[in-house]
Amino acid sequence: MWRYILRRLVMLIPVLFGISIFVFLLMHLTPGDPALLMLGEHAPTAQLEALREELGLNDSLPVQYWNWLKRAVRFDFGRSLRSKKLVTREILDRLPATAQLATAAVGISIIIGVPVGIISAARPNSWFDNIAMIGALTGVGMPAFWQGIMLILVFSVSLGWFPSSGRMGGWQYLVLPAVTLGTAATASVARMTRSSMLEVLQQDYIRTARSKGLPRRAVILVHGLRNALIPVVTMIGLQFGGLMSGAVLTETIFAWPGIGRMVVEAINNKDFPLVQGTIMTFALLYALVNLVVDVLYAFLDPRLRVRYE
Amino acid sequence: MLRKPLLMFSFVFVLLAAVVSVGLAQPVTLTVAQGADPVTLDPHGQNDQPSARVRVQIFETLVNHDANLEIVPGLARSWEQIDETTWEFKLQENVTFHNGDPFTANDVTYSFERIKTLPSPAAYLIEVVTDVEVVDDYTVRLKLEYPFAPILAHLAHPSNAIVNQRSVEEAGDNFGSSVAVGTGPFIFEDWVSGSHVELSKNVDYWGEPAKVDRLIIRSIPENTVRAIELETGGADIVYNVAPMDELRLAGTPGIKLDKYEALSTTYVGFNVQKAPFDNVLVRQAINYALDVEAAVDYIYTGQAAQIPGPLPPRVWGFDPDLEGYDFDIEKAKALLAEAGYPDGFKTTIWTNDNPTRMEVAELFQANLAEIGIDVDIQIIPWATYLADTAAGKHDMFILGWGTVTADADYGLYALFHSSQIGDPGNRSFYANDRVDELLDLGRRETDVEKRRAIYSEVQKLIIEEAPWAFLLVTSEVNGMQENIEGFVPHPAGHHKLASVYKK
Repeated sequence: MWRYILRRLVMLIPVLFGISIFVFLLMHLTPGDPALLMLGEHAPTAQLEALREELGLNDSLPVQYWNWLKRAVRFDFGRSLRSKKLVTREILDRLPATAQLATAAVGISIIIGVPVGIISAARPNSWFDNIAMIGALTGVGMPAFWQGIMLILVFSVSLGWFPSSGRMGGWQYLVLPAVTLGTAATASVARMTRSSMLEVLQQDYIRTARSKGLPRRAVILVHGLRNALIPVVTMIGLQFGGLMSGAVLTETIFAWPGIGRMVVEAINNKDFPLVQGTIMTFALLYALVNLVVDVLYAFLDPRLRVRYE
Repeated sequence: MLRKPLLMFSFVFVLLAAVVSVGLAQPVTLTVAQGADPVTLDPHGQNDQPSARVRVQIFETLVNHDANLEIVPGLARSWEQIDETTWEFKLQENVTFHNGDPFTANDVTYSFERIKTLPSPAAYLIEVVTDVEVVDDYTVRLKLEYPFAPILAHLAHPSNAIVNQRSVEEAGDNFGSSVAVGTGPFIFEDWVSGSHVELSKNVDYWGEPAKVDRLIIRSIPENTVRAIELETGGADIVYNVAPMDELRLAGTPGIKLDKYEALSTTYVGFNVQKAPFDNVLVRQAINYALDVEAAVDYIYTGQAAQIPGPLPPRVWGFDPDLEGYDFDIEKAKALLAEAGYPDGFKTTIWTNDNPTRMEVAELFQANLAEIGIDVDIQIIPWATYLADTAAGKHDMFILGWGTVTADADYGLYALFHSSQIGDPGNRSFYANDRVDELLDLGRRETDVEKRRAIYSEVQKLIIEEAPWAFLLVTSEVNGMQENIEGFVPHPAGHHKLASVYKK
């Protein structure tokens, strides 16, 4: 098992390297000059030139990449072009808010989505199943900006239960954004649990378990659920990875100081070091979440565990 | 028997007194919300509005603009023009920085040198200053490269704030993010990236101290949510209330709105070196064809006003007797025919992805179709937009300009002087010898009335020559709780909050 994990971690190096080149090229080959963006509509030519020189934008692309890489291997991503803040500092400042929001949203999706999926699968086409699946479709289809504003209007403006935006301390601030972000995830989890469960319940070993005289509840929860969970875990993992790289819409609506909003601003401003550093962090997080998911498989399915040895 | 009630009474009294005194000592916090996080708190760093709105609470300039845009003393208590190119400033004494260092003439020298060597994005504002000479601890002389009448207006810009050498050097690159030491009425405490900046009252402030103890400036990007924060009590003042939210908040009890005309204009620029815009008749025709009033009423829903020429009315030098172009389709058609385009022509108009400007472009597309001009709208990302309009790749474009110094020179020189073509601001590639001459004269003339006359003439000339289609000046709406008093909006948008209190 440990060798497997180690091998996966080593394999990360070429992946991250590839991503860094890709992001670097994407940022530098798309049009737009960060110096011009910084100086704005009123930029004396000499000053523009001086700033480009200072920012190292006059070097050739390979030289610029090499300069970046030399420091990046020591986790030094330089400073933001615009704010002069350390990129690592900026990421560490923003990541906790995003992690908190993503965890809460995924938490909601598991706590609600999995049981709803199980019950729906146990009683397919019942009234519960129909309502749940219509709800899930709505949840997946509802745009976050609309849902966010509606939640604010109802729960902040009318009822006054929760603050409408920000992260100014206290769990109350987390509720509305987490629900907004968690809705789509919950819906996906419920649908995935249901279909995976339905498939498993058709299997021979379920029939065997039933014919042994085991109670229906035990069959579904012990024999069925464990086998049905693998695709669900995969999906939750992917979602968590995605949410960790920021939920831009939700963060924007709720003025949540997360990393998604930051990176979008950085991309618009062509803040190369900040974009590069943040995307590398996302890539690393995504890869790690995937690794955790793969390791979880082994616990869910003993047959897979053998393969990792 | 008597003792017990007495004891009780005194106990209750003490308790009551304690409660009252705690109540009195309760620190007052003012929460303000704006649309974006500051970029940096270093006044000599990135020159953006959200940053300036925080910095003006912490840092100060030699002189200030008051609410009527008159120049008033700041860190300089008086000034005098000694000769054509020398200005002497007497500094306030007994001013200390937030780190305890006294403020002296050396800080002025250091700050101006820093602006020039960084270089600060706003270094162009004091490009004309060649030397800062320390006469004594509280006297400095600024040497100018040539006589420059609007120098005081330039010094009042928040980007020319005075910083403390020791704190800048100690903080290094962290100056502006974790350290910000100025002389202003508020002291920097904390900045939670993406969320808010927290400031506290400077109890040792040299002037009129702040009226609240704590100032929190939040960033809430979504317009509607920012307005809602006012209703839910999450903010005391919110900046830039959008037209749609203005309508709703106007009827909400407990909330008041404050509207002021800003220093920012929106215009359509022509590439006057490209046919058919090299023909002045075509440019005039388009000026007559655009229904600016409709844009003001329906797109800006009243948060703007039509202007006759290039300058916003509140800027010094604006001539109130100017006559602009009316909306007159027949006149436009006649001019276009006279120019040799009776059937119009095909062209493009550029805008960046600003939703308001995109709507304006659509309206003008319809207006120009009336006189036979077939306009294709192209929406271009901001970075490319700036670069390509500076390179002259455009036909027509929509852009704005903020005359941040509130002086005619700033609102005209960069935009119409032939030396400023391209990046510096003249994106219509307009060149006219008489305009150049007048603009040069205007920045040198120190006699106020003569100077005014020069700018009147140049405005008339520019309107006639029409390198732009002149559109509108925007206004801004701030919303606040009914108990907020003492808020004085600054026309450039960076409102100072020391005078604000809660009733």
